[in-house]
Amino acid sequence: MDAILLALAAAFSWGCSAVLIRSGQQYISSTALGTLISLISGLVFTGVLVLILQFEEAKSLSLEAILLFAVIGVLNFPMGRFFNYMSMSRLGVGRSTPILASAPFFAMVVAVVFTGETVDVGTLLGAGLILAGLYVTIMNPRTKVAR
Amino acid sequence: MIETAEAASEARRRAILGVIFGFSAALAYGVSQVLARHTVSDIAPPLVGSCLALFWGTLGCALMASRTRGAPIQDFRRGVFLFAAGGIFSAMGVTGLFIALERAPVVIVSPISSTNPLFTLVLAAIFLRDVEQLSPRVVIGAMLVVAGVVVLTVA
Repeated sequence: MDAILLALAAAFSWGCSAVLIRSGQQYISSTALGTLISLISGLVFTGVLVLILQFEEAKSLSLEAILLFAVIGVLNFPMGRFFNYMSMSRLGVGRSTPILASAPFFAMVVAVVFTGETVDVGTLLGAGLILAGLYVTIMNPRTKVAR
Repeated sequence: MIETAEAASEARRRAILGVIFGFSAALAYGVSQVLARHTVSDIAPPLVGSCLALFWGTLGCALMASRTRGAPIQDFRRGVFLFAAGGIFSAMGVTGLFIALERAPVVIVSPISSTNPLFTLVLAAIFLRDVEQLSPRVVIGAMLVVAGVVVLTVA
């Protein structure tokens, strides 16, 4: 039960984050600066948690792990988060959020193409629903967005 | 008349760019999910990994921000507060997800956490009324995407 509540809290936190960032874009137009500010605050928050909870594990990281997380960090933040905020400032949070939420669809495509994972009926149904949702979201000319 | 046509053309260009940036973000997150799924859990605890990824991401972003010049700033302090709060909420979401995954299987936790676009829409409807208007199509689109992600995760 507490895991379900935590997962719901995570979803709610991401919702709050998107709305706060969209509000922040009204005051700081530079997406790179905004992304940097959000990353610094996130790094401080996570860093404090690691110092308190998992400092020993952090001290024993291998060079391989450090390099791998460098790749994941660059993919997730200067690329993923920066593009996400660019999309948010142009489309608004309502239309950009479902596009971003389609990331598992891209993960599935990458996994099938590059790592040889197999596709079953459920996977195809999920992918179809995501594509339908994206079509409905993107082909929506009436959403008004303030700059 | 010409101004109206130019404004419509500019709005269309912004929308197309927004969609391209959105898909680029989804692709970047998707590739990193595959990388993380196949390698990360064996070499570091998720919280430590997340912190390390944030560290490298911050370095990369600092480099990008240092090259950005001349972007207008309307209210620096308020902007910093909102972006920083957004970053903390995002990190809280990731931490909450990791703790949830330690206590329950991914087939339970992941579909629940993937409902976040619905929370975003509700919060945007409440707090961003002056900034953007949400149409029923956007809500239906978000619900379809969330349903698809849930089915994909469970499958």
